[in-house]
Order: sequence, then C-alpha cells, then structure tokens
Amino acid sequence: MSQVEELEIELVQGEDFSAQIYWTDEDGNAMPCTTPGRLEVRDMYGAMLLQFASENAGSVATKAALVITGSDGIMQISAPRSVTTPLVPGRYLFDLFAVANNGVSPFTTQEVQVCSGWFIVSTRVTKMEVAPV
Amino acid sequence: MSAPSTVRLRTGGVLQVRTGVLKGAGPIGPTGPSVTGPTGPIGPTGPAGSVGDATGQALLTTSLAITAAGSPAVCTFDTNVATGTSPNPLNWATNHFDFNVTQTGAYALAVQATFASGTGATGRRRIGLYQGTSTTPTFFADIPANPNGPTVVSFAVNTHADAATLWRVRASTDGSNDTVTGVQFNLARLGIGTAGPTGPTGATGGAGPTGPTGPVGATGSAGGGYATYNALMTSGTSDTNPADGTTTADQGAPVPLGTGKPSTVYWLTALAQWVERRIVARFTDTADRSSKRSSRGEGELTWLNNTNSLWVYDGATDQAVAQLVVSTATPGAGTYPPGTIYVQV
Repeated sequence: MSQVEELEIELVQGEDFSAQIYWTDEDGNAMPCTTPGRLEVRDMYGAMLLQFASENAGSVATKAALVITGSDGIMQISAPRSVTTPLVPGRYLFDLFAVANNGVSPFTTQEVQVCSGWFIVSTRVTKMEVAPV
Repeated sequence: MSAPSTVRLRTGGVLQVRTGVLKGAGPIGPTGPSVTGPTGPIGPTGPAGSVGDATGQALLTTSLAITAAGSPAVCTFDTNVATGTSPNPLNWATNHFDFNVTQTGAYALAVQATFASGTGATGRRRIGLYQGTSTTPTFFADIPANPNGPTVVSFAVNTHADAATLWRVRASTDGSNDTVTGVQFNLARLGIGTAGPTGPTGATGGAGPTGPTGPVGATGSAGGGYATYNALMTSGTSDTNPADGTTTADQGAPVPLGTGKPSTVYWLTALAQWVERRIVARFTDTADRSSKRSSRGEGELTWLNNTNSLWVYDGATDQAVAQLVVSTATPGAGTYPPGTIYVQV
C-alpha cells in the first residue's frame, strides 16, 4: 500500500518567505506549465488570508507572488516581510492551481490543482528591525 | 493503513510534487478547546534600593552659660560633623547653630544636654528643638536639676522634617543660673532607600484558538416597494445603457433585451412615444401641431380638425393628402378641405 503524504507549508510571521514547488508527472519529468497560477490560503470558514498570484510576479518585493518557470515545472512562491508581518498565526488550508501546457485530451491547456494541504503561520519570537529591502 | 506522513515546506525549501503521489489535506478537524495560554512568569525582583543616609552627629564642646534672664540659649555646635560614608542628612549654616535637613522626609532625632548643676542646684533644666528664631520649643524635655551632680536632660523624637525649615537647639533653666557643659545631637534619616526599577514583564501566554463562527443574523425586514412609476424611471434603467434594449428589424420599434434590466415602465413609455409618430396624429390646427410636434419625420401623417384635412410630411413641408368626394350636388365654394377632389355625377 502506498504511503499517503500530507503537505504543510510553514511561514513564520515577519520573515521574507520564499520556497519552490517543482511539479513533475508520475515519471518525474518536469510538467510544462504556464500562467495564470494561484495559491490561496484560507481559514476553515473560507476567509482568505493570503494569495500568491502569478499576476504579482513583477512585484515580488511588495506582494505575495507566484513566479512560474514554464518549461521546468518550477513554481516559486514568495512573500516579503511587509506581507507576512500582519498575518495571524494559525493553521489554514491552501491549494495551488496552475495551467499545464500538455493537457490531457480533450484539453490542450488544462487548469488543474497541483497540490493542497495545510498552511501554517507560526508566531515569531525574535523581535528584530531590518531596513526595508 | 499506515498513518499519513507530513511533508513540510519552509522558506528556502524546495518540494517536488509528483502528480498522483502527493495527496491533499484531510478533512478539517474539530475546533480545539478554548484555552488561553498560561500567564507568563513574574519578572525578577528589581535591584535593592540605595542605602539610607547615615547618622549625622554634632557635638557642643564649649561650655554654654545659662543665666536666669533672657531667652533660651542657642547651642552653637562644632563644625566637625561625623558623616560616615553617606551624605550627611544635615546642612549646617556658617553660624553653626542654624541647620536644616538635606531632604524632606522622616528623621530620628536625639538630643542630650549635660548641665553642670551640683550642690545647691534648684529648679529645672531644659533642652529643646526650636524652629528658626522662635523661643517656643517644638520638641523639648526638662527635668529637675540634680543637686548631687550634673543634670543630664535628653529626648528623642521621630518626626517628619521639611528641608526648607531651619532649626536650632536651645538650652535653658527655669530661672536658675547653670552651665551647659556639653550637648550631643544625633540625626538619622528613617526609611528604606529608593525602590529599584520594576523587573521585566513576563512572557505573554500563547493566543487561544479562534472561536466558532457566530449564528446567522436575523432576516431583514421587507422593503416597502415603489410608491410611483417614477421610482423605476431612473436614468440608469435603459436609455443611457444601450445594452439594455434594441429595436425591431422591421420598423425599428424600441424593445427590451432579455439580458437588460427589468425596466418595464421605461419600455412601455418608449414604445408609446415611438407609436405616436407612426399613426395619424390629430391636432386642432397647424399652430397646435407645431406646438406639440416641432419637428417631424418624413412620412408622418397628421389630421387637422379645423379644416378636416389629412397631411403628410415629405421631409420639407406638409402636403395635403387628396380626399375624393363623389356627389350629385353642385360643389359649394369653400366647403371642402385642401386637397379635395370633387366629382359630380
């Protein structure tokens, strides 16, 4: 029986957050993908906490962004500390939707859920002020 | 079935998602108990306050003659005041008998005077503390003179002293002559030193979990509807939004679109205004027609009641529409409207 895995993304209040998700098919080959892509974080009542959007790819210094490198299947999510600082610590849900270029017939481009899981916002302990980037 | 394992992605990390292998999250679990985090520990005790002032001590070593007459004699002290290692609580004036405390506060004061007295001494001997030049003591002690030796008079008092008040020590008798051979004067400040600073605040307890969603609010009251059709004839209903309507392909009659706003009143009005231009409109005379319809479209028909005539607008002027009258009678002059074709048979 296969092992079931759950995904958790952890973000600490006030940090400059950046992580990569590498999307492959069952054989481990990179999944060609394209914009738009979006990763939304919501609480159990559906209220949105945070949104990593490909539309913000040009504003990574000020907004939560999802940068998609299409041919490599790499999706980088990032959020500057100006965005992560006001987040309320807790346990939330997320899922990531993107567009696969090699969609399964009858689709040529197929909008699919890449992954989903828990999104953890942890309380920050250390207090430190750093000049804005 | 084995329990699910968790893959955690943190900042700086990379995760490979293989289609069909990594699963989503399970169902949402029940809300945890509403427990507030424990109160943080009490901060450490602040440092000890500063050490209180040491005793100030003054000595009178020169004999002071007391005569029967006059005010209580003022005791002049040595300038050598023992101060220890802390600030002296006394400020002495240069005259060596006026003094005040350095800081307003509580003080323990002890004064002891020795009178020579001895054989034949009578009456009483007094030592006291006086404010400024007053000859009435604030604190004092007196005892009968000792005929067998020196008379020692002393008193001690704890009092609140103001730094701005000048004091003097005076010695006196009740009328007898005597000699003060020595006065010892001690002053010590009472109370503890200043409090140390407050210790740091303990750590704040963790935040409790989010509470459950509140109940659905009550249904609002129904609206009162519209009082008149005018309320439905707002500017945004149709004509300023062409997407709401269209025209028929045959004659161009205004009609609403199925996707337009449901402004029935507007479309009834628009259609009525359109139809008015396509029927034979009736007017009293040409003046009435010009007043009510200043401009007309080509092909519009109108009827004038004063001449009982039918007119068609050709785009420039109104042309009379011919009316055929067939009769056996002879036509009368001026009886028929413009455009009448009269046929007598």
